[in-house]
Amino acid sequence: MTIDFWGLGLQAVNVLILVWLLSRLFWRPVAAAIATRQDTALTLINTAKATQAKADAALAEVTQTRADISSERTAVLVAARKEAEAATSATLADAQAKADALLAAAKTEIATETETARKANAAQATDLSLDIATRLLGQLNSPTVQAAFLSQLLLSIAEMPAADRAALKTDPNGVRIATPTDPGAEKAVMEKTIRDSLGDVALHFVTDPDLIAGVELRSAHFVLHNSWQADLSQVRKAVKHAA
Amino acid sequence: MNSPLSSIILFQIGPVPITQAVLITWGIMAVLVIGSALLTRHLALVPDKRQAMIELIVTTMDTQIRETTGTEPAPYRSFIGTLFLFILVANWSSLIPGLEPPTSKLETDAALAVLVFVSVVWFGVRGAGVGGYLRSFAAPNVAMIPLNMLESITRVFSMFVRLFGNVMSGVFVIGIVASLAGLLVPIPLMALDLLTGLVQAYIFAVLAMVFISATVEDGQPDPAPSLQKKVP
Amino acid sequence: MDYLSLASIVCAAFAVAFGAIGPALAEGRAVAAAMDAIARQPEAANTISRTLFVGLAMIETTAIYCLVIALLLLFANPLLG
Repeated sequence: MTIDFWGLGLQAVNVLILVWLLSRLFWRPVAAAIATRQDTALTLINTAKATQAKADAALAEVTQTRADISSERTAVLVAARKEAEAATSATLADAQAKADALLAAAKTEIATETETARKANAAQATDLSLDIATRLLGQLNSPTVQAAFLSQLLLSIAEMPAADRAALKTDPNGVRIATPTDPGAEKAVMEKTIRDSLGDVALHFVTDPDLIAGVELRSAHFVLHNSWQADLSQVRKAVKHAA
Repeated sequence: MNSPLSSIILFQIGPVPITQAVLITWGIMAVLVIGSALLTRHLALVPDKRQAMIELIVTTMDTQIRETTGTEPAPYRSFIGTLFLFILVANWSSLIPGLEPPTSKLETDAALAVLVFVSVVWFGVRGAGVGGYLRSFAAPNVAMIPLNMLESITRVFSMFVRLFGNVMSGVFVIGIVASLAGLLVPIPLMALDLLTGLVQAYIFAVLAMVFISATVEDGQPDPAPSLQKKVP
Repeated sequence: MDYLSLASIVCAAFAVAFGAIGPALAEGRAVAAAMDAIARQPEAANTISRTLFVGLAMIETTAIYCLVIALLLLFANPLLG
């Protein structure tokens, strides 16, 4: 049994070269490829995990936002409803108040109008009654009545304060005796009677049919009313005042 | 009949005789290098069939190394894997008519065994330092030093003879049978030879890995690995 | 043919013959144990058969050693010169 040492050495070198070449050409590249794939897969998985986490966070955020929006919407709705209710109630109250005011104004107006109407009615009635009274009293005009008025005038003159009597007397034009009709024959009697009670003054007669009946003394500054007309106007004044 | 123990010298380059085995080894080297260069030409991130196949080879090799040594396969992958691939291809090269496997010759197997011996020293020194490598002879105790030194020689000699005997006997038996009845009869023996070639390549690689890892572990200053080794 | 070469041939035959007995028995035992193990644990059949093949190859190596010795005696007998 002989071993060829040249062959042994050659084969050893051959196998060593083969080991080196295959290590360069086969084992390392393939192992590097596997390692690269593993690294890439790991990176991918990590990235995917990160992305997943991000997506989860985004989803949570979106959900949160949606819930916020929903609650906000609810709040807005509630606020709007409250506002609307408040506005409605305010409007209602306003309208109510306005209506009340209108009603009150209307009532007042009605009352005023009623009052006015009533007053007008009263005034009309007063006028009417006074017209009636004037007409009636005009028919009642008679010497008796004139005599009664004359005596009444005398009484008034007698009760007159001194200042008034002086004011009546001092008129330079004299005192006018107003009668509804021309007294005629009575003129002298009346003149005498008045002069007796009043003193010495210039007297002249005027006719005033408006008096209806009665005798009045008129000067520039003073009138001594003593007639139906004066009575009626007094009554009218009183009625108007009462109304 | 030619002696299976002798080699046929084809020609000489200077003083160096080139035997048939050396020539076939060159051919195998060329096939392996060109084939791997072609296979690993376009390595992509997403593997196609070709890349999946070669990655399967590498992954299987890594798994075997990891199961045998319990460490990361990266430092040993090139040496052990190339050893396995070369022996496998060399064993199966007997299928091509007219070729004799280089591993059926004494020189090739002796060279492989010497490489394993050197690699044990290399990896032992690299993994545990010179002191660690020398200390690995004293495992499990100092009395074992002569036996361990003897064993480090005999175990590679055993690998050498095992590989040589198996491959050579297969070739030899097939040659005898083929000389008796050339047609169809050698086929079962050739099939057995294929199986033997695969198993021998596997055994050779695994044994080399076991020797290397045992030396590296025994050389570690931490006594824990050797203690762990005693447990089973 | 002298006695030395005759003895070498006879011894080579004996070496192969008796060297095959031990591995044969051992391989039989190994295969039987493996079958037993596979019958007990069919799910571990892959591991068991892989280990079995490796073990058989190791056992077979013993017979191969004998064959190598026989071939040495026949083709490269150092005593025959």
